[in-house]
Parts: sequence; C-alpha cells; structure tokens
Amino acid sequence: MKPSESDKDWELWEVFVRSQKGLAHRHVGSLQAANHLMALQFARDLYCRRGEVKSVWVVPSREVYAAHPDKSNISYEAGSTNRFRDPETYITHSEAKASDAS
Amino acid sequence: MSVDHAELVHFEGTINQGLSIEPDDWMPGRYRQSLVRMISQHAHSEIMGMYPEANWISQAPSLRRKIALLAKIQDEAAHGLYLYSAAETLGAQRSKNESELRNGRAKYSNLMDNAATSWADVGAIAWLGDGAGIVNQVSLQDNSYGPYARALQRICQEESFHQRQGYEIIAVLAKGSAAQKEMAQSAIDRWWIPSLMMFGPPDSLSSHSEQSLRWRIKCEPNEVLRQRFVDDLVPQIVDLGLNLPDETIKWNDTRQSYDYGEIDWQHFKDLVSKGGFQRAERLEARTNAWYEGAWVREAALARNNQLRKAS
Amino acid sequence: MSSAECSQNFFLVNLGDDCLIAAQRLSEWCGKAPTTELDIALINLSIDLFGQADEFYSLFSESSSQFKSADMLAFERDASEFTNCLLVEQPNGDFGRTICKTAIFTTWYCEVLTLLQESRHVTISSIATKFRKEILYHKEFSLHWLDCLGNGTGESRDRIKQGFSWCYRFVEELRIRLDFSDITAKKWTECIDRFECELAKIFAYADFDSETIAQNLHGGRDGAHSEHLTHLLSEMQALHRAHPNVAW
Repeated sequence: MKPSESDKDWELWEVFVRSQKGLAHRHVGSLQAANHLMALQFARDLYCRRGEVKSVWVVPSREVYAAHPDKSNISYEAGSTNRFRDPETYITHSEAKASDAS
Repeated sequence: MSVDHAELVHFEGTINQGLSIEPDDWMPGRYRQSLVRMISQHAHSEIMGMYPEANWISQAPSLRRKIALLAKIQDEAAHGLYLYSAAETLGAQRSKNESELRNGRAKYSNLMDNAATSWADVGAIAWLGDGAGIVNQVSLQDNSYGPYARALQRICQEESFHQRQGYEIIAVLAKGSAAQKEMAQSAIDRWWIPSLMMFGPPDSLSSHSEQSLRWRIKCEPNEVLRQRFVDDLVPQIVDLGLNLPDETIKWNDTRQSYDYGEIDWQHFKDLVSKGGFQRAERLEARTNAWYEGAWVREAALARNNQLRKAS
Repeated sequence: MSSAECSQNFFLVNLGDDCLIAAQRLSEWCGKAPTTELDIALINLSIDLFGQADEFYSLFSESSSQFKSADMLAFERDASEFTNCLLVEQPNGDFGRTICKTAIFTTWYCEVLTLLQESRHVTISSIATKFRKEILYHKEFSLHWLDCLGNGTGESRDRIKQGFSWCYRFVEELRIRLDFSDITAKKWTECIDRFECELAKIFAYADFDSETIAQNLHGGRDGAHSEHLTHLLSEMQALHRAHPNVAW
C-alpha cells in the first residue's frame, strides 16, 4: 500500500467485520485513525451502524502484504495438474466390490 | 500481438464474461482514470450532500424527523468514506482527494450547491435527489470494477430508507395545512430539474459514453436512467395532489413512458464549470472543518507517538 | 405547569431535557468535525441522546394532562419551563470543550442511570439499563479523546484546560438530587460520590486543577437558564411553532 500524502495524515486502516457467529471476518472497507483504539471506535461508528456485529478487526493498511499469482513466475496451481488431491481418482468400496463381482 | 494488446483482450474478455476487475488486475490507463474520476466525484457528492440538509437538523420540526435526518446525513458521510476507500484501491489517496475537494478543484454533483430554503426541501432532496441517486446507483451495482460495485451494493442497501423518509416528509406536508402544501409544492418546483440533471447530459453529447458502456464503467445510458426516474416519480407526485414544474409532461402510449421537456444543458454546463448558487458556502464549510480540526488531528498523532515510544 | 404535573414523575422531564439539549448541541457538529469519521461518531452520540429524550418525554406524557406527546414537551415550552442542567446548554466551543462537556455530562449521567437501574418500577429500570449501555460508549469515546487531547500537544492540553474551566462552573449543579421516590438521599449521595471520584480521574487527563475555578452556577433545574438556551430553543422550535397543530 502507498504512504499517505503527508505525515500529518492519520494512518489508513482496513476493517474486517464478522456479522454472525459461524461466518468468517469479511473486509468491509477502510478508515483513517491515529491508532488502533481510535480505529476500532470509528469502525464501530462507520461499519456497524446496522445489524448485529460479533467481532471487528482493524489492520494498518501498510501491514497488508499481497501476492499476485497472475504476475508471478511461481506456480500457485500445484494441485491442479496433479490429481492426487482429487478423491474421484481413488477407488471406492462399492467400485471395489463391483470389480470383484465381475 | 503486443503484450498490451494481449492484456487488453484478456481484460475485455473478463468484462464480457460479466466478471469483475480487481485492484491488482491489469487495466487500461483510461479505465483506471475514468473510474478514479467517477468514484471520487461520487464520494465528493456524498460528502457535500451533508451540507444542504445539515442546515435543517437544528430546526427539524419533530424528534422523529430529527433522528431520521441525522441518520441519513450520517449515512452520507459514511458512504463518502466507503467510496474514498474504493478509490484508494486505484491509487487515489483519500487525503489528496479530500484536499482537492476543499480547494474547489474536484467536481461533485451540483445538486448539493442548491439552497435548501425550507423544511420541505429536506424532503425533496431525499425523495427526488436521493431518488435519482438510487436509480443511478442501482444500475451501477453491475459495474465491472469490484471494489466500486461492492461499495455500491452496501450503499444501495443502506439508502433505501433515505428516499422513503423523504417521500414521507413531502406526503405529510401535501396532506397538511395550506401553508405546508405550498411549502411542498415550492420544493418540488425547485428540486425537480436539478434532480433530472443528476443523470448527466444525454449520452450523445458525451464522448466517453460508448467506451464506458463497453467496459461496464457505466451500465446503462443516462437517458434510460433518467426516463426510469421520471416514470417512477411522476405518478407519485401527481397522486399527492402536487404539480410538476413541467407542463409538457404527458403519458406517451406508444413508448409506454412519460414525455418530458427539454433540459437546459447549457445551464448545466455552466453549473458544472462555475458551481451552483451556494457553492462558496459549501466549500467554506468543508474548509473550515478541516482547518479548525487541525490541532485535534495533530494532537491525536502526537499522543500516538508517545504511546508507541512508551511501549 | 400545574402542581399536579410536578408529581414524582418530573425527574423524567429533567433527564429528558438534559438529553434533548445535549443532543441538539452535539448535532451542531454535523459537517464541522475534524475528520469525517468524527462527524459520524458525534452524530451517533446525538442520535442516541435524541432517542433517550424521546423515551423520557413519552413516558412522562403518558400521565400528563398538559403535555400529550414528547414533541409537545420538546417544541412547545419556553426556556423558563426547561429544567436541563446548565452544563448541556453551553455552546460547543471548540472540539476540546465539546469533549470536556461530554465527558463530564456522560460520567454524571452514567452514574444516574446506574442508580435508576435499581428502581422498583420495571419501566424505569429497563430503560435505564438500555440507555446505560449506550451512554457507556459515549463515556468511552469522550475519555479516549480526553486522553488524546489532554496528553497530545501543548496546544491541545491548553484547550482541554480551557474547556474544563468553562464547564467546571456547572458541576456543582449536578449535585442537586433528582426528585424521584426511588432515589433516597443516601443513594443519591453515594451516586454523587462515585461521580466525584470519576471526575477526579477525568481532570487528571489534563492536570486540570478545579480549585482555580471560583464560580458555581446553578438554576437550570428551576428554569433559570443562561441566554444560550433561549437562542438554542428559538432556532430549534421556530418551524414547529410557526405552524401550530399540524402533523410533520
């Protein structure tokens, strides 16, 4: 992520909200705050104005590191050509029985 | 085939399949620029949209109206931030965007520059202005840029009460005393055309339209959206016993739509380039808030630095 | 106001007035806060307090012959009929003073709600529980900002001290007991003791020395207000009063 225009700006934070038990945190947007406590307060006011919220995470945007498989020489598709993670490639009990019978 | 051309084919293929473009995907420079311009303008309009209505919070005539108005204005501020956040994914920094708004270099919907001179204006802004905004935004939810489309989905969900509370304000006034009815009529008279203008000039007048539609930066032509708004609103206004400030409005049986009068696009162009009636006040409000708050922002940073050093 | 109106329910009007006037002041910040995030936060506080005023008034109006609705209480009384404490009607001043005012008021109000939670009247105790949950956030918010500004820069600390100096003159008035049968003199004293204890912590954020303030002003609970309330009401009530007996 890019540094802000001037060092007088409050830092940018990414906000993640879990709306229900059983769901994962979901990225909902960003906000500016001077520290994590302020970011959590603002996240409450900005992204939790409606409906039930179970949990909120804030992460400094500059701490988010990303990988881009499309632009990388490294393969991210280790499993897709080797089908050994695909259960369909293995024999089942009923198939084994059927082949015994024939 | 050049690398760029191959990228372009892949990019347009993604869009044609109805898939979204995400921040890290390759995109043509013009796509990025158009989106930055569009999302930033949209964000600025939400932020400036706070002001015409904020002037009426102090005088809102009942507790229920006061609370609804505050909640609506609060949404506008929040929607501005959702959109700045979407623009940020394209490299448009919020701080830079905000300073351009303060300096008067950024464009925003000139509806916000109009004077809100009566309580009924609060209703008209929400019913007509937000109503036009919603027609636009619902259409834009299918936009090809992921972060913008997702921000719009959230905005559309949240804004559904805005228009309803605006309608309710006008409906109550229209059924109220003679003075209240007159207040409602005068507000419709003043906000009808500015609301139609919110959709922008016909696409035939705009050079970028065709490409914008092809890249799903826009999803439907301005004229189609404006017509949808007119067809939706005209019968509602008539049902309330109010008049439309356009005598040429008539149901067209062949088109199954309402015909309406020509809009003065030269006037619109003037408004865009010179700003509307209360532009100076709107910019002043924004600028004062920023400069008067400088010591607060600075103190919060200083406090944070102390805490960081201490830990 | 008839003497029958001044029954034991009148503390509902006291608290309704406190909430209403505090909310009206906070709403003045809309579009003027130091950042858009703060606009949103201050509007949240204001919405909560307008909502609480509405509920206090509505409860009172159920047993009132003169005031049939919350809106009548809010919009159809003159300044001299308002019984809010003087603190909440004070002009916002800068963001620092607003934070000082909010911190003092919410600290007091939080203790009062804690007391009301123990009421034998189920309606009172249940709204007190609901409101207290909202006000605890107001308190957390204002204390967070007191910490930021009281300890931030030299300028911010000075502004907080000035904010406290302005507001401290109205603290004495908060000691006046609310007239409600469930609030015994003993319980009230304990409540105020807890408030004082919290207040000392609040002042510590900016090393504010309350001894330097000689003035103690009161009168709000009896309708003797500053000129600020008259101006606030003339704006707030203008539209409602210009069109009597209509729906909005």
